Amino acid sequence: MTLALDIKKLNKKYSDFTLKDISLQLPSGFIMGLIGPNGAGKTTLIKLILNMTRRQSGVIKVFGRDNIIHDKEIKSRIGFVHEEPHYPGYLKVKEIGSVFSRFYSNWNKNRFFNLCREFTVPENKRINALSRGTKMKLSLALALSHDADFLLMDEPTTGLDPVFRRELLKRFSRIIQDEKKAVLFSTHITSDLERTADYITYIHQGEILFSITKDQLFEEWALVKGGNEILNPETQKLFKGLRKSSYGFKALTSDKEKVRTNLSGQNYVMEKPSLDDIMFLLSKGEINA
Amino acid sequence: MLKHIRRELIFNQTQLYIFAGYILVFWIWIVWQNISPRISLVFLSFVLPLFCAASFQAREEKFKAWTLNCSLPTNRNTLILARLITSWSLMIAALIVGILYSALFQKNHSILYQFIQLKYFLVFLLFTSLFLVFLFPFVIRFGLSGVLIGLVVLQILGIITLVLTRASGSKGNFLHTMIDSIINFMKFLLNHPSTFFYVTVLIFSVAVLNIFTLKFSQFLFARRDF
Repeated sequence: MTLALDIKKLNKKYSDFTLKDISLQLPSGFIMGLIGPNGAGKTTLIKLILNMTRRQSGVIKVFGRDNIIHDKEIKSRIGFVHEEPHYPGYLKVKEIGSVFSRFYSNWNKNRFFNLCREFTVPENKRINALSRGTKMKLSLALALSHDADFLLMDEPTTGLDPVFRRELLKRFSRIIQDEKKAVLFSTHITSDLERTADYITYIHQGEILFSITKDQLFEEWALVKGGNEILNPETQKLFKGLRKSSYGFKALTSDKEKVRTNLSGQNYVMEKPSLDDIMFLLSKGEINA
Repeated sequence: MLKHIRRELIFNQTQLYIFAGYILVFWIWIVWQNISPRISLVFLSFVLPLFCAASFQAREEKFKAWTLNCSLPTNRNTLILARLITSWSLMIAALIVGILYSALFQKNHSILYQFIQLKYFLVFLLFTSLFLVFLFPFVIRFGLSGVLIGLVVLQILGIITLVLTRASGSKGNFLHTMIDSIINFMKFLLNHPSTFFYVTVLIFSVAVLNIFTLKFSQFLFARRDF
């Protein structure tokens, strides 16, 4: 199995934020969703992969090659979508396509114009006349026009209507069918991940809390609800993202059997969590390592 | 490299139109006022780099074009090299416009005669390179706001220098000596006979200054996060 992305012990320190010991792997032929609250480090991680931000330590390999040493080669294989596409506003859509075409040897002019038509991006319109959603569509068209092996996207579905979003997610699934390509995208829309992602990576305050397959996540993790009388220092250690109220508690566990054993005979329920539950509880609850 | 220069020109096309307009007005003014070619040479050597480096940076910051440029399959050193080559191409183009304007509209063709002489052309390159060696890396590192702050600081320093010079009165003070030295250096460069050795030294100095500008800017740019 070829790894499209292999990150080991990646560190990046800012004055007010640190990305700590990030390690994750994404095999070719899969889609990985990156989730986490605002400011968790998702955009920083994506910029580090693209070598737009310098790392302090660690290794980032894209298709087995170091992303700094093989910077140019790797970027030519990546289709990148920025969370806020930055293009000179006075340029026309077709002009930006023309600039991009010179940088990618696999650039397919017809595909670009077909995508523009399909995404309803007017090719003769100036970029500053486009809406935010249309700019994002343009960014997607640019990323998809050079047959990239790795799509790296920072919140690509933000600002897009639900119909287009669904179409786009289907497109991602089609792209990875040849098992040579991979997709990594960050999002806050958890339903997009539930629909498409094979792997889910949760990042919180600069640290990865988990990076596992979606199936594994829903098989192993559970949402536990119960009365506060169950909670004591010992049982609390079983949970991640514990949230208490006067009516009881809600928490996550990644070890259902252990919870069953330890809470046998107690009054609690165990449910399959949604990604929203996981995001909410891991962001707002008490996190046990 | 051509694709990079093309990208620079396309991404900065509004600035190019403003630049072209400015250069035309500049030469019309030089010819109309019958400004000495030597003064116009010195003036041009300062104005052109400032315009090319700073105004391009303004577009960069407005559209965050560096973010876009750095996401393209190229390395950062090439981006800086392309920016330097584009800046020089524009500056030389501006000079050619002046020479053509002088040939067509100036009665005594003084600008034409001056700039087609190798020595004057090389002195123009040297002055421009000298200014660029400070300005270009500064713009790359600190951006447009850095340039504006730098200009204000320079202006304040200039005023302080002027006040101190006037207050001290005597002609022999340090500041006066320094300013005189700069003027004398310029006069020396412009009046020196065009010997083979002198021309070689000028060419070598221009090359060294530009290599330093490039390497230092690349060093600074490699350390920027986007």
